[in-house]
Amino acid sequence: MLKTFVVEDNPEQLATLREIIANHIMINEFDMALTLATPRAQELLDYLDGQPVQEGLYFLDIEYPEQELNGLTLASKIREQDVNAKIVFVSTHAEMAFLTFERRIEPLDFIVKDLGAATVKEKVETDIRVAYERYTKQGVASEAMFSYAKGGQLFNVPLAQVLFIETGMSRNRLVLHLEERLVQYNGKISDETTAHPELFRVHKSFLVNPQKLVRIDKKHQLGYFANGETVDIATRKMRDLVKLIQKSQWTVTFDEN
Amino acid sequence: MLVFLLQILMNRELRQRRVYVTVTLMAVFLTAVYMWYDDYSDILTFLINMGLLAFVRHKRYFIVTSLTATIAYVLFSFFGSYATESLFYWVGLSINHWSGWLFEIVGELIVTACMLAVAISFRLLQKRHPQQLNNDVTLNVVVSVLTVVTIAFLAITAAADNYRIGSGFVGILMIILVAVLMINAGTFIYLFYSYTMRVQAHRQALERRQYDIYVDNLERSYQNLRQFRHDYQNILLSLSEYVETSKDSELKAYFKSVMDSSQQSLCRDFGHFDNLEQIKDKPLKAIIQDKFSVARQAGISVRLEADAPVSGLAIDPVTLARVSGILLDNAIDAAKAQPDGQLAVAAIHYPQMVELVFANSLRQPVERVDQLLVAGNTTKGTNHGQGLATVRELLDPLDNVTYEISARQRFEFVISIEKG
Repeated sequence: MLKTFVVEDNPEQLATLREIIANHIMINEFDMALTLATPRAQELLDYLDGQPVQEGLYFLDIEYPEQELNGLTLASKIREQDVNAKIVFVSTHAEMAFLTFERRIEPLDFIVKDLGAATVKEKVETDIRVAYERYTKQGVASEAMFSYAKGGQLFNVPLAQVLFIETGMSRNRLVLHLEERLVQYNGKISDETTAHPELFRVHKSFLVNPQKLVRIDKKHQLGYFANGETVDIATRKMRDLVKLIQKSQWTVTFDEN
Repeated sequence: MLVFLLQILMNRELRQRRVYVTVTLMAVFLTAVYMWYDDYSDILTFLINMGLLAFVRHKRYFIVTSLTATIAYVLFSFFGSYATESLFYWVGLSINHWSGWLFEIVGELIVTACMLAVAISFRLLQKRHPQQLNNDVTLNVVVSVLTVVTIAFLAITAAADNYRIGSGFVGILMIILVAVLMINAGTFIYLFYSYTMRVQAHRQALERRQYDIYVDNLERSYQNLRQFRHDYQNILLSLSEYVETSKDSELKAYFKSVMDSSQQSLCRDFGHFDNLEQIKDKPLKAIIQDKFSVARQAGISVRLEADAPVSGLAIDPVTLARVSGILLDNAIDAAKAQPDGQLAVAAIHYPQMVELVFANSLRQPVERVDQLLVAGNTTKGTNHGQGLATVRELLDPLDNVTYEISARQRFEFVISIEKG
């Protein structure tokens, strides 16, 4: 069952959100429940302390005036307990700090209250459906994640977005190539190779996610990804890689000549 | 012959068929000459060797490899035979006519091994420090040092060959020469580096001072602007008192229209941005204020996110200002072309790190983010790609600074500065 939580300090808005969510769950007969709807941020944290939740859906505000916690700290605390939490911020436009929130919380959505009751309702319902879809697709087993650390901070990205890791310009510098992003961080490629058995070391400076390869050019010893990026493949590794791909029955085209 | 091979190993440019043919011909010719007349053979070889200059484009680099090869050869052929002699002595073999050929073979083997070692270490050196070997000044220095060393060695060997000086004495001479050269080289390297460091530090200090002046000027002009606006508003207000009391309806109408339009432009305060007071780092604040006003005047909506004071960033302020300037210029260029362009900067605090995010809206996603960082690659205008390549050049050498880049829903550049 997918647990849903709402923290909203304005009583009317809390009631509206509660109604929208409860109705939508009921109409669609989703295996979901509105577990907690409260004006107090601390109450949610107390609940999570009592019984850990995995992959819940959370509707939060950004500012809670007269409360110790604000949306950002509340959301970070939720993430600490529930790594795969789906967090939706419902707030007025003026208090939006999109970049900061996206970077720190990776929320499912931002809903701007100013857009009017109808739009808010529509967006809340869409988010419920998206969260529910993701929840049922993966079951309770959490999505495979790849994490990297920067300045003592852990960042998580879905493993399915990782293309490859490459050694950078200077010592101990790695470049993580994601589908939509390029990330530099400090680390050693040998450590990453041991830490991530699902990735395959094809070259002394390349560690790839073999499932993301779309084409292998055997003559020029290159591996291609869907976006056109390439990696070098060492001769010694080519046979093992081909074997792995054939065994796992991934769809990769081979250019023999 | 070995000298040539060694050079070919060290200098990639020599790997041409013409060179191979010439080297073979030269080797045959020289062997013939030496069979007939052997004095000054090293010098002759070296001079003829210089003929290879015709084949290369990087003349100076060739001279470096050539000199290195010659010195290595002279040194090792001498110490090689010396080493072989002592080896034979240790093993207890005396040199008579039957073991003469063995002596030659072992000697040549040792020399070849040493030469190979020189070639490999040269390649390693080149790989480790590619810039230094392409730098004209450094190459000049290396060339002159090597020239002096080569002349000294050639002089000693020539003297030894022709005046029949005992090999022991030449050995001592060589050792002394090597020691003197090493001391000299060490002193020189130390002086050279301390000099370059000093020049660099001086340049940085100068840059920083100029930047401070710029920042101060900028701030002062904003203050002047604000002051002027304030005065102007007051004048308008006092004027309006008089106009209200007058009976001229035309004047009233005109004045009203002037008031309306000025009110509109005065309300848009180009110098004020929410959260700007949180940026305590002066150069960064100045750059953001400057670029944000440019953006706002171009009709781009701007936003600054900073929920806590930003100060004491562990990065050189001038570098940070240059990087931010390039990123903001790029962002303005990109957002200007869109009907509702947006530009945002965020400072995000972590316990051990501060991240600066520069973002702007995009017309369409960029498929290959990795190519944005390559010089000359750009989606719009020629400066965009060049700018990001410069950003990369500035940030790459910093150990505590890393970056991220993405360009799907929006363009985003994140600079992560870890606390030192």
